[in-house]
Amino acid sequence: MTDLEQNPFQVLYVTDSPDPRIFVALFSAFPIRFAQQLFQPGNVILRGTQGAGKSMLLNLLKPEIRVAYHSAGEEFPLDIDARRFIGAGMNLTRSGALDIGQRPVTASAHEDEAVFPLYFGDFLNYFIVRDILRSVDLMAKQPRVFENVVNPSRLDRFASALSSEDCWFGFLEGRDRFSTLCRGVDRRIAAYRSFHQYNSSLTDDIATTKTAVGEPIGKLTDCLRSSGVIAADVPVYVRIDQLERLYRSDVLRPSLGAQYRRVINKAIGMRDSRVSYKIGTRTYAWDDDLTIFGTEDQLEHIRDFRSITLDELLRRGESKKTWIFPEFVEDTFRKRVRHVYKGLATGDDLVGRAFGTQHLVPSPSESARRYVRIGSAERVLGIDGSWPKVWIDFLTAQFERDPLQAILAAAWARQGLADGGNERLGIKPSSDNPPWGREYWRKERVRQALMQIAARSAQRLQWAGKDSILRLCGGNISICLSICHEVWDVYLRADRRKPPAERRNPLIDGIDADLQAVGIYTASAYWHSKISEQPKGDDRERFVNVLGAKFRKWLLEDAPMSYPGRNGFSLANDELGQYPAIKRFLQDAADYGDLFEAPHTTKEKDRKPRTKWYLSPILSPYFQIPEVHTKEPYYARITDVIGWLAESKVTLPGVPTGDVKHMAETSAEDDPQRRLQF
Amino acid sequence: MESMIYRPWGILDWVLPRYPTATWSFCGSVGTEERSIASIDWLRGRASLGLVRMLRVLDPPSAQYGAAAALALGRRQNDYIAAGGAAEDVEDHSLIESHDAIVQTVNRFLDRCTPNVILDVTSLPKRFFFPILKLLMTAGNRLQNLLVTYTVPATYTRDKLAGNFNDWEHVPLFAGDYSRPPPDYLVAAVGFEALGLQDQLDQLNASVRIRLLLPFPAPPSSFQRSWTVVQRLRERLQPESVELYRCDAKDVSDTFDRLRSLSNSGQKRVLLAPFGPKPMSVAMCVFATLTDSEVFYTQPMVYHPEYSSGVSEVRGQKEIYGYCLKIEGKSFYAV
Repeated sequence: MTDLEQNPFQVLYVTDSPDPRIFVALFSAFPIRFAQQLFQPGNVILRGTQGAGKSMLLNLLKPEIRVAYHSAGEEFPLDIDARRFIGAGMNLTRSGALDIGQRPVTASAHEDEAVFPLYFGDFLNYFIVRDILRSVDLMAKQPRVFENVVNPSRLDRFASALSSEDCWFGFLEGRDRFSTLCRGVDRRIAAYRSFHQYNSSLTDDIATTKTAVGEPIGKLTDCLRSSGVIAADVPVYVRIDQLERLYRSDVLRPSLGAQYRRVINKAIGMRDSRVSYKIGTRTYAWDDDLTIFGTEDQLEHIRDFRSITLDELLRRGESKKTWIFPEFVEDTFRKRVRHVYKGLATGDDLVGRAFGTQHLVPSPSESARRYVRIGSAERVLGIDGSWPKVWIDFLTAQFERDPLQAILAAAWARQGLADGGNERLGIKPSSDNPPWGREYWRKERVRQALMQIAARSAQRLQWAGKDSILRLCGGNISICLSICHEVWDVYLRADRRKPPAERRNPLIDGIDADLQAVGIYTASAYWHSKISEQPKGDDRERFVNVLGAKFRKWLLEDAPMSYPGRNGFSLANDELGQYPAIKRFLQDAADYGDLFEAPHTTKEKDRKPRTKWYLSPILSPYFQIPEVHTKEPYYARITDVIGWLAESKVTLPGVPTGDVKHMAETSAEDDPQRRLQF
Repeated sequence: MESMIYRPWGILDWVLPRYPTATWSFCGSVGTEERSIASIDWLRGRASLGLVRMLRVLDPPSAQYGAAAALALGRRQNDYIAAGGAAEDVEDHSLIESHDAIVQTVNRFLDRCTPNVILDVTSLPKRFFFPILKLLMTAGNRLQNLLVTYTVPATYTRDKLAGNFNDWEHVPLFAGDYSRPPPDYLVAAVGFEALGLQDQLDQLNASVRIRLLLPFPAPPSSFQRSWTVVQRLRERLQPESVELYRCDAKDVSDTFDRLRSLSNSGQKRVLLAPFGPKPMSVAMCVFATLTDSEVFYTQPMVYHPEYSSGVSEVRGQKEIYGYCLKIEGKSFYAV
């Protein structure tokens, strides 16, 4: 068996709790340079959809990962001056923090509501303090790995100083050795957990020594420095991932979850330069509530925290020049291929060589020709005896030469009919500089045209090539790895059937477009099935199914190709604002990567701010719709969305679930897009 | 080598006579499924029944299944009363109610029950029966006889059984012992649905080894569904990180022994994920209670209103199994 018989993408994800050895081998340091603030003092909110790579970056703050780099003899991927820090954190799920509030602590429910957030803050303090102590201990034991950042000879002095701080209200008094300090903190955490498992009561000494959120962590940092355990310039970073668990989970009552979120906001809002919080959260979930616990104040961007949104960094904007995702993909691809193929993976543009930029991928016209192998001009173009003979002859002849050009010509002619006249059909068609060949007119409709050709020829629309793959990823590296994995699998299956002499090296010869298409479709189907494999995903899957089917129907039935942008919809923000549950549902869908959300610059006269949504590009092969976002999306009314939700059998609080067909029809007739000139 | 431990279990008709004649208290549920009340129906007339508490656990509102579920629940309640049950036996609960509400329900039950308790787990969500069974097991001498029952349906729906699952959370009262080191193994019992288990396996720390428990023997149609889930789970994992073990889908003792073996009689720490059939979940609950292990699950928010239909029969008898946890003060399960 040669190295080429392995799939380099078998290990797909490097996420929350990875194997440190695999992390070191496969982690691409590329995003670090765009997320430098994460590794510098200051509070940072790292936002991104599921799979965008938040956890990968946050993992670099874990001392275990640093040890793994050292063990593997690999250079730690941060700049030298950014490597000297103490990193610690907490996992909200595993810690048991979400149990607080599940068991009453006083005789009064009203009083409980008031004290639960205080206990939550106290638990948070102890848990994070314990993790910092664990990190310090590990760093003290491995001085070479951590470049002597921690001075182990000062640990007991530090313990003595910290345990006598007022912030503990005496709970840690006398714990003046590092080991006894750790045990004291453990005792408190264990007491909380024991209480919430109904093994014991909450002791009075806890009730009377609740700490203020963030305060002990700041004091700990002070003591680490003043006792000489770390130098004054060594920052302490506290990592909290999946913050949305606090306020988008059914485990906690919504009111309580909101309070807990505010407790963490308070820690961030302390503007305590001693500690930097590094928070990982889904993109839209962060904006839910910036209120600081116990106040009316709000966290302020820049002043209290900086924000890094991975999706914004990695998704393609208006300009291709600022799009960094292709470089990230190349780096990630190279790491994995090298890990398996060793010396075989050399040279530039490995992604292009494997998936092809030009040589492997058929042009749109060639794709159209392949789709129509068994299709007739009448069927594919949808022309009949009502068309002028000169047009029928022209289109039929054109269809023989270039079916794509023919369907575009037919669509152009139909646009005249759609406007209520037949002036265009009165013109003698010509192949010389035709209007349907104008660059933008054609570019905006090519994908819709191919879709219509494939559908009318009973063929599956195919995707292949580096550019297509990058577009389908939508800036999400997990999707990219998944596509690579499936395409490689198809390639290996096909290649194994060949005699050894005929086998190909994908990094030299590339992978055939038809094999890529099979792999890409499999990846798309996998990501579709994955929607319901995420929390609350069944509702979103049904909604996405309704949208996917609708978009396909709209685009197929639009023979004049007047609405090539109807693979998405947009809503006025003020309409959406009336239904917070719908807003949250759509944002959740975007956060889980099922939908893509973006502001929409409206063409309507009222200029009302709007937001638009598309299906995640990776779902396009599954639903057989173009992934390219061109022209205007469907201008939806909120009643449309309510209708789609009802059709999807999704129940949302405050949203009608009955027969909204009439409401939706009314809005469709009032479609402002119909008034737009194309 | 360990000596084999005999833990009585079997068809209820055989199991019940293993216990002394007693007045039983019963805790079960009125669910959408016909089998949910099969156990109490069977017991009525064959055993002396004292306190009966039937939990009616209501899913959050759902346009997909809400109406059908309400109809099925109403029908089942009528069946229960028609068969001789009392309306006041039935107590409504929310699927996502607080841990404390569940604990208080058990405490009220324990306050009034006889020392002989039957817990029917057939249609009780794991979120409920795990803490209930734990509290019954840890009630000490208060209970002398503890029997768990489970009814096998005639068929399951071919549709998805449950959906809209929640985040990966520990089951109420099963957060595990914080003071002990992190788990050595994640032991997941595999069922008809993966319910997000794939993501959890992907994200596991490399030091945690994965052990999948496949329900086998099991009816061919059930085995096929579980096997599909296993294949899907293994597809994206390193082969060397996963091992597969077969456990009898109906034998609590078999799964319990497997857990004992995997954990070296509780010496190694395991994190349990009960995604498999109820008897395997009962074994996980018993093991976790005895070893203070963590149990994690992704609680579905909606169940198919026709999750199953009918009650299976073997040799002319309803396929209702009884699992003896305690007889006359003697516990059969220990690590």
